[in-house]
Amino acid sequence: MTQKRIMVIDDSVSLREVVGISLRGAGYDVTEACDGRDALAKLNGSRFHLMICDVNMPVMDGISFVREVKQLPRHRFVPIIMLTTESRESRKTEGQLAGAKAWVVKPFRPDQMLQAVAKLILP
Amino acid sequence: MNARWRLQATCVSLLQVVPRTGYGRWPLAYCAAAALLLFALAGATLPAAAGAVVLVLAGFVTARALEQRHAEALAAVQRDAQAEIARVTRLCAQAAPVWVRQIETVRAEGDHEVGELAQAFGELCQKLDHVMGPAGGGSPEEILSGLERNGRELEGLVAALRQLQAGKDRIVRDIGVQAAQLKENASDIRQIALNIRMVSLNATIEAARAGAAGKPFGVIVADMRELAARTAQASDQFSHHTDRLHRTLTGVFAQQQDQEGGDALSIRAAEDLVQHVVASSEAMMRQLTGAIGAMEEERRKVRDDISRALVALQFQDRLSQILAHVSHNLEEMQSRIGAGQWHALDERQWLESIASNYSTHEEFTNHAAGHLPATQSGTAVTFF
Repeated sequence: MTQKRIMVIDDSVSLREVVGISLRGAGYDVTEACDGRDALAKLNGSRFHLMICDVNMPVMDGISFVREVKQLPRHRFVPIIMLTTESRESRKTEGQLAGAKAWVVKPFRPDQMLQAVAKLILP
Repeated sequence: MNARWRLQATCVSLLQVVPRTGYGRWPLAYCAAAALLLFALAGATLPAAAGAVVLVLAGFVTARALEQRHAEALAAVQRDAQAEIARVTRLCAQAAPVWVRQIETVRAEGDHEVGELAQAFGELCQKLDHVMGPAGGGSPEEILSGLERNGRELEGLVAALRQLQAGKDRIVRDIGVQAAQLKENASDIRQIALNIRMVSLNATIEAARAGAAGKPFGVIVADMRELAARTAQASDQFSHHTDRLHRTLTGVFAQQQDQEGGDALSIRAAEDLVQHVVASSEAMMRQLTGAIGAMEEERRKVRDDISRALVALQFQDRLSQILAHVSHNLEEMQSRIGAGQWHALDERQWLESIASNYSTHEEFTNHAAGHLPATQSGTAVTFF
């Protein structure tokens, strides 16, 4: 069985590491990006089964990234989990309208994140 | 009209000199009260009127002097305050970039160090999984089961060797019996040939006694005697070969008897060795399984600890974001001071502008001076 590929987008190195540890431990192949623009560049020619994206990032924020991804025919159906410190309902609604599938508030517990990933990841 | 105008002008002049502040009004009021008291006590006499006028004029003079001193003191305070504000503004303009640099340094170092820490945790997890994970040979229970299976197969092999040895012994014994039987048969044939020879001798005697009539019979008897001689010769040869075969088989049988004892001993030793190896391997594997079980339990505990540490490490991200917002607000303040907009800034708008950048619950709570409800424990996952 081929490994499922997940892209983790966050400007915090430590957060990318933390998410990567949880996902790699569960057998996923993880690709990291430091912001939305970097993630879009890494989408070229690749296929991912799920994306986990921070909201507040420099260069391109998470909500804008989700909107951009939803315009790409090859990636528009890839589920996206927003992973953020944002506690405002208005931002959550923005994420939902942009096309995100789930909203996880940091700090997350690894088992909860893995459950969310298992529920949403493409076959 | 002229007199009226003069009266009005006089009133205005009087109003202009009337002290406007409490510092001047009170001495004037005291002097006026004293003049009225003088009138009341002394009556409407010229000296009383003159004294009252003097009192009122003294009140005016005192009031004006006090007002003047107060105005000068106020102006001095205002000058000092403006100078202080200008100094504090300059201080803020100079301190803000320092604070921003300090905060950014803390953020960068915190991010870097926590990133390193998280990476170390990640490598630790990978090593744990690599060391403790199934390394192609299956679980300890599977290895133990395989070892037991191999032991049983070896025991089956030893049993097969035993059966083979028993079959070989039986064949050798059967051959010996058959060889002895052949020797007996050869002896019987030789005895028969001797008997025929004796019969042929008697027949020759009887043919000679019969004379010419027994001559043809004598020819047949001669043939019988020759046949008996050839049978005896063949029987001797057969007996000789049978003896040789018997001796050979007896030697082989004796050798086989010796070898059989050695083989049995070897097989028994092999069997004992197999049982010993299997038993000791099983004991070792049980010890190993116990040790691996204990290590697995420890690994689970370490993994749980790491999992908790991973949650704790995420607070660096929240901390970094809060510091980034503080840094941004300080830069904004510095920019406003630099542009000379500080005095025109509305505090309420400024605070609202600060709050618009917040993302964490802690920031909103701190902004509201702790009046917001506490955050919920655990992670909130919302599916859309």
